[in-house]
Amino acid sequence: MVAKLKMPKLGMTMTFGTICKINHPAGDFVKAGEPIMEFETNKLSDKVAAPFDGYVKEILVELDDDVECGEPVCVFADQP
Amino acid sequence: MKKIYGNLAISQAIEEEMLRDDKVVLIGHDQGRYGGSFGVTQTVYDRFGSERVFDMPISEGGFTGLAVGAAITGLRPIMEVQFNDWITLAMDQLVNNGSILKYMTGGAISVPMVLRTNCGGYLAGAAQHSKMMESILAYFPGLKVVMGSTPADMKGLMKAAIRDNNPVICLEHKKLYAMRGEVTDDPAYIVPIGKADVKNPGTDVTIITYSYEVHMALRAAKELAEEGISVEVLDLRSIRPLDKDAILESVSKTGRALCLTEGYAPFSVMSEVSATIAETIPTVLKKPVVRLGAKDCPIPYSPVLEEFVLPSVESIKDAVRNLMSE
Repeated sequence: MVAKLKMPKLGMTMTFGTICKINHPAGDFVKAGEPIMEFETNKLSDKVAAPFDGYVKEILVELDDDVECGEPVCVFADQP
Repeated sequence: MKKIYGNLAISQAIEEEMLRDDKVVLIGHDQGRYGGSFGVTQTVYDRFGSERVFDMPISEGGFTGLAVGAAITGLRPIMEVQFNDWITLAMDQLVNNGSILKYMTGGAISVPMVLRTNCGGYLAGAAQHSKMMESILAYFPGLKVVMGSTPADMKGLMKAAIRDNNPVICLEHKKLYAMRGEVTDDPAYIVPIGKADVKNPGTDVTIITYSYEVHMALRAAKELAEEGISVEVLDLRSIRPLDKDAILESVSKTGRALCLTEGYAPFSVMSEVSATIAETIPTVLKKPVVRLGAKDCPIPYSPVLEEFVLPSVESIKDAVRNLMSE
């Protein structure tokens, strides 16, 4: 199973999130619910979490990038 | 200079003034621990606590009266109405008390309060969360109305509003909360109320506008420059008092005026601006003044329909091209 994780839209005025921490580079195993990366907006901080136990296949963004809501940030899979 | 978000620029203004003057207090919905529904007051409660920050029940009429009363007794309240659409609920206290008491008491009573609220669309917020209420508010003598378009202007106007001895309404466009811009942390910095600002100099057409529409006008100006049309963008910043001198100076230079508003153009701020031009400098006009605003319709929830109803870069460019045509 392969999932493309996206920048969520949290609230009315959010149009993008700024990547402020990448917790796991490509190749890492991450448990379901644990953060793969963290982002900030003008109001909040939140994480992009692993949807299931699995492996980071590819990180599609860099630190400090402004990523529009709905744009992919990470490819995640249940197999290494 | 540091680049910060619009909502945090307003936050800085509020905190700087609360530090400077212990009479400044916050009143409104979710101002305290929650930090405001758009994160404008996200750090204020932690710094100043429950003696300076007051969360209110859902009763705008009630706590607007509270703010007017607090201002009369010597505090400098900053109150928030969570969306400007609901300022209708606060209107009685604003226009039957706040705006008139100084006059009715022969100057014995001042009402040094700020009413903050957000406005505007382009966010699929639907008809009860997307309106532009400035024209209604600017109608009343005794109220000042300001609308910054950049984080720096929003901060400077907020600070001027807090220091003003009259009721001032600060309308903050929701789109501007997440816009970054350079902002000074010099505590003496203010933007004086009543001064417009040329955001883009030009020679062929003046676009007179304010708030988020300034950025639409700047985008149109950039694209029109490639067609050889030079557009001056005049940002009113202050709706009342209106900087008539700046309007007349710019239109005297270009001879063509597009009065652009996100609100409805009929019976509006832009009706006032066009009348000012027509009454004062009719002979400089190379073409009649044009107003452009939202179509006569409640603001739709559907993003497709909302885009159709509100001014767009394309509709602004078309209006400017028409002004330039023979």
